[in-house]
Amino acid sequence: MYKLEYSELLGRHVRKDDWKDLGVPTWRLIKQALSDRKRNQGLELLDNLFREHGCLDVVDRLNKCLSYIARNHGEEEVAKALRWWQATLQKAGDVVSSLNLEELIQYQAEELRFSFTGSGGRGSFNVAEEKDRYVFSLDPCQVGRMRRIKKINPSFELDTTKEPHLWTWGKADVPYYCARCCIWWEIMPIEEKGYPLRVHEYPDDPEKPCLTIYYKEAEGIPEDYFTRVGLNKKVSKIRGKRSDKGS
Amino acid sequence: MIRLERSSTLGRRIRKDSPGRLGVSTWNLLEEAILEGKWERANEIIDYLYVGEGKTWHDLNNDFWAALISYVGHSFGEHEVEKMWREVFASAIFGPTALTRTPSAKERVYAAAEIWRAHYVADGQLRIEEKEDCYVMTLSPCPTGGRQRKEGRLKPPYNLGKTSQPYPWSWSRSNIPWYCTHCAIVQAGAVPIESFGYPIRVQEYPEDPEDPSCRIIFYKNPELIPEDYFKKLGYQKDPSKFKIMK
Repeated sequence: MYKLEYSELLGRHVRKDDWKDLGVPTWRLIKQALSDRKRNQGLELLDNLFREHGCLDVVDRLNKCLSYIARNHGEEEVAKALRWWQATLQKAGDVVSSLNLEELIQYQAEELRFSFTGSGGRGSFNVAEEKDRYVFSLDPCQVGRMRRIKKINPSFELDTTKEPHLWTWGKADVPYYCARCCIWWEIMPIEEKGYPLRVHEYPDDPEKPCLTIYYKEAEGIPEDYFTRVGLNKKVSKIRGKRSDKGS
Repeated sequence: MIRLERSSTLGRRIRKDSPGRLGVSTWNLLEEAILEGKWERANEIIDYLYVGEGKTWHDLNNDFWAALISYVGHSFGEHEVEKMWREVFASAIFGPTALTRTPSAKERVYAAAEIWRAHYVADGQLRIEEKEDCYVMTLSPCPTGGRQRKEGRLKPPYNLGKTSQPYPWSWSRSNIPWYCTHCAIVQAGAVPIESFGYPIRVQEYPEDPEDPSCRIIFYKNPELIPEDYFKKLGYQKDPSKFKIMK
């Protein structure tokens, strides 16, 4: 049986079960509550699971890792580190580049929901289907939330680029973690397939949403999205239809 | 309406809603299903939330984290590993919810258990027992560094790094994954010893490098921590320098 009690240490409730129960995953307890048709218990545990989910500060620590690299070894090393890991994942058989557009959107939407996007951090965002593209409006994305905190509290630790780089869309003052979106989903796919898997409208004002955009046809992606990252749009190099599988 | 279907490419279930619905929070959908008493639907959603939307992405992020320390170690030398972890994890020792904020080992165990559950331990992988002088957490396997070892992340093509020789920050052992050394440096080692005179917890990394398990021990009183745990981290146990964590 679980026991949710206040923790002075954490300033909120935490599971203080008997020792034999404390290692049981909370989702398992939720499944038991569902099986027993215990609505209030299910809701209480769901609320607890959400707090658990947020206790690791994963993106904050990843940004700190990238900040360490920039501070001690130069900002260009951030781009190299990100490129190295994405290339490694591809060598290991990462599925992203083999997904058609529909699957890619479903897969990456999953990560955005995982990542505390939107109001209350519950993993929600707006999707608008336009004639030629899908526009995800992340208000905010996970790093965007940190940018908003920093705007109110300047002592909040969130290191950003000191110089503009092609891998930060030609902008300075971009959190290092955001370079991942530019390098992994724009630059490396252009180099490999001839077009970005998705493009981003990074807002200078953190109060505005970050837009993640998927074009339905690669040929329809405006040239600006190539040139701003220092690359050219070469229609002849675009490999495969976005609705096709594989490359 | 949520559409959970199997993806042959991913080899698991994924939300295949219309694009306009993909941004609806799965947490909210689960909450709605529970409120409406749609028990089977809720059961399907919690399975997906945990495995698909949770563990999959947790593990990818966890590998990314290990990748960044490996990039630094491979590119700039192994000594950088200790330096980077000290900086990146400073808030785990000195931050507002750091485990050092309470003198109670029991309270630390409750908070630490939550952290391990958040790392997506599966059924039966985390066991906690109270002994006369301590609380013992057994992770079998550890869902972070242990999972990386078990899933071959220290081998090609990933090549995540491990210590080439014994260091105080690797429990005086070689072949310790650089990722795992954050435990030796931060919670179970150098940083709290330097600040408070003793570690928040001690750790028994397995003897067999292929073994993905780990044991974490919270002593009820720092004076009960065996001297050996200090020595293998390069420190002397000196109770006259102990400060109360709070």
